[in-house]
Amino acid sequence: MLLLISDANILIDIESGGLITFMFSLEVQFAVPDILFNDELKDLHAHLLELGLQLRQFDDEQVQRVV
Amino acid sequence: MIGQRLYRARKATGLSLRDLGAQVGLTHAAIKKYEDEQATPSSTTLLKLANALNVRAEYFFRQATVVIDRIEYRKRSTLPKKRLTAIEHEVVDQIERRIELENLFPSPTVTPFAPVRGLPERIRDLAQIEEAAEAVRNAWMLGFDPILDLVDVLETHGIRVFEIDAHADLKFDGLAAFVNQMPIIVVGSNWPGDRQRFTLAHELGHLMLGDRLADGIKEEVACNRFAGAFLIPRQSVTQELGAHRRYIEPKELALLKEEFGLSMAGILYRARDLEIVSSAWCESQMKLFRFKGWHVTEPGKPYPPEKAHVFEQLIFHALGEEYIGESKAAELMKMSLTTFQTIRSLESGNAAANQ
Repeated sequence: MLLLISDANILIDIESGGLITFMFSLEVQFAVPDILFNDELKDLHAHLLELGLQLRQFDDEQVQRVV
Repeated sequence: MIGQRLYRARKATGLSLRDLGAQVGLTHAAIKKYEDEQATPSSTTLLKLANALNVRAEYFFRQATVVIDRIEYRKRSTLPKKRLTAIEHEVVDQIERRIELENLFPSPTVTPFAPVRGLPERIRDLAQIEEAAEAVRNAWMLGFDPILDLVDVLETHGIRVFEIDAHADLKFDGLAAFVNQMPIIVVGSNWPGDRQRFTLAHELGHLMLGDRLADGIKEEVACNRFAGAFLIPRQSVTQELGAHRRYIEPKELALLKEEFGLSMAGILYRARDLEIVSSAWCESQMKLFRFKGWHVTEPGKPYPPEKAHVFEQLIFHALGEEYIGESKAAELMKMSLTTFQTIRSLESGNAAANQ
């Protein structure tokens, strides 16, 4: 199963609760939008990528929909 | 929307379509299409663009609550066009965030700017500027005392003050402008406090005197006189220095600077303008200042810098009253949520806003 997380706070809270390695040991793939990662997670939480966090991009149509 | 903001951010960095294209691995035609909104970039491309243009990706998505086409300068700047465009971009960015934040309050946070009563209709000689400065002080109930927080005084009277880091540009002191009919003053954050205060008061002079000066009076000279007179009005100068002096010790100037936040040289010029000392003596002192390098850096402890603190205060006010949430606050302060939370918790060493 693929879970897309759209709020960085979820990852940050799970990490400060010490549950992040457990979360990534689940039979689930976790992904965040690349923009969210860049603005919110890159500086202090880049190691999430090593734990298995995936990045997903929006193509032009999806970006257009956000706008 | 993305296109227009992309265009603005590109202009601010001074990059051509081709330069930007090369940096992100696209043709100039592709960038042009994005700017003209004939195409929309993918998120990955947006990130590359944000990186090359030194903005956060969020910048491209921001809903402009106010449309700011251009800044009306009170005077033509001597800065090169490219630098001016970059400064303009940063100012507009700050104003946008400020106005967006203000609009989230249920009632207005800023008293509208109102013309000051009692200003001379027409200023025919420089000495009249003393009256003008006193009229402003009077209308704003400042008495003759030193102004401790000049930014606060200006903000209280509807003049929004913004700071920009102009380290790259030693020529930039500040500017006064109208944005959507609101007066604003921008000051460089990198200068010592006394220089910033002189700039702020000088730019206030532009707003107050602009259309009242008789032909033949140079606006810049008039605004310098206004700045001095506003920071230390003639009554205070005479009270502190006496009506006539033959000699003023530099240490005495330094002490007055500490009290009024006007540079030693500025106080010297005040004494000359008010005929407390002779022009010849003032000139000889300025030679001494140049000889000692004091015209670049004055001796002693620098006067503490002014701080444009209103924006950050409004953020926490809005947060406290739940007009905005943490994410919005972080976005308006152009920082990640984590950084914002550190600042909010008062646990970071340096709570400087990334304005």
